[in-house]
Amino acid sequence: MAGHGATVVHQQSWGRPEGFRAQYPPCADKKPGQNRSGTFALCNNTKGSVTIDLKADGGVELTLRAVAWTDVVIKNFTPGTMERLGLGYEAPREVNPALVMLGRCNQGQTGLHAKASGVRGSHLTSLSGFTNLTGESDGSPQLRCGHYIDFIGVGYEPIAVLVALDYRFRTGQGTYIDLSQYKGGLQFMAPALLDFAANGRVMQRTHNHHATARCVSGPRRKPLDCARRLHQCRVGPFRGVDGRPGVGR
Amino acid sequence: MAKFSSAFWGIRPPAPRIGEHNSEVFREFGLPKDDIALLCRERGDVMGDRGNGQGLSGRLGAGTIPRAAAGGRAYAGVIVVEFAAYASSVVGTSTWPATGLR
Repeated sequence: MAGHGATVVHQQSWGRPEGFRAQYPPCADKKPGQNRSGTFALCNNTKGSVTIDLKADGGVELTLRAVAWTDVVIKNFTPGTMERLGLGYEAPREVNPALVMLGRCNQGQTGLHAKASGVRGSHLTSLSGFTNLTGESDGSPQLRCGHYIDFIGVGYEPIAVLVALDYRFRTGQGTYIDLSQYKGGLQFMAPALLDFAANGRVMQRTHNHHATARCVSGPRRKPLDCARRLHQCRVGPFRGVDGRPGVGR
Repeated sequence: MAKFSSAFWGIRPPAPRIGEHNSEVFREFGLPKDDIALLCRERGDVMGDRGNGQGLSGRLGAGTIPRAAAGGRAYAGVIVVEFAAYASSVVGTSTWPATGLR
């Protein structure tokens, strides 16, 4: 959203700065430290930065001023943290009735696994099944690019926020959005989930092969070569669901 | 003829340094100058600088928040505040799986 014109301010504290800013590789001169993370720089351009310690005297009051100033608040604390600080949805809504607030913790704000810890998204990537489906058919599961599911979750967040903003512009009403990164990631597993639900098949690791997409020529190619040729494939994503040939066949 | 169209384009400002826009944002909140100055002096309080040698005073007022450009951009006028809470102890010096970068 910052890249498309919104004014975005990133709030954190000096007392416990986020590790993303300091440690995510590649780091400048290969030395971790504040403002040295290349990954942070890649993901946070066009933003502002403000430091407010929510646990310090006056920190919550100052944050409520920020809430009154802003249109959207995005939080990634574990469930209940903001509420304990007096910054759940109710208090902010009192100072900004049209506020859009998005909670984006691992497995949602409520439910059996809401407070389950997660590490770097690797946990969610495996929990949602990506790890088990990656690798050689006769080999062990392979962890995709670590926190792969993070990149899926953030794809859904601006969509949800824009819908809430559209609703706000039309009605003047704010919205609280509880977006579980885990559930967002499951959307990319839809073919496997659908195949199991409809056909009872459990998708397995198959190297660089695909159940319904096939390279036009060559029995087995390097992954990159295969990816280049995927656009030439005739894909039938729902083949067999209803007993008829799938789409595109 | 211009090489580029009349549509807005520009080089994106780099990611901000921590606390780079404190004074500007606090002014936007409506804090009086005296309060902002107080926050600067007592940065161990609300700003949470725990004496780690990276004080804010040198950066206060140094930055300018990247603003929405005029011209009907999709999100122009929308302000977003995002809270960052990442455990700093879990990332360590692990290897980036896909690239091997450290």
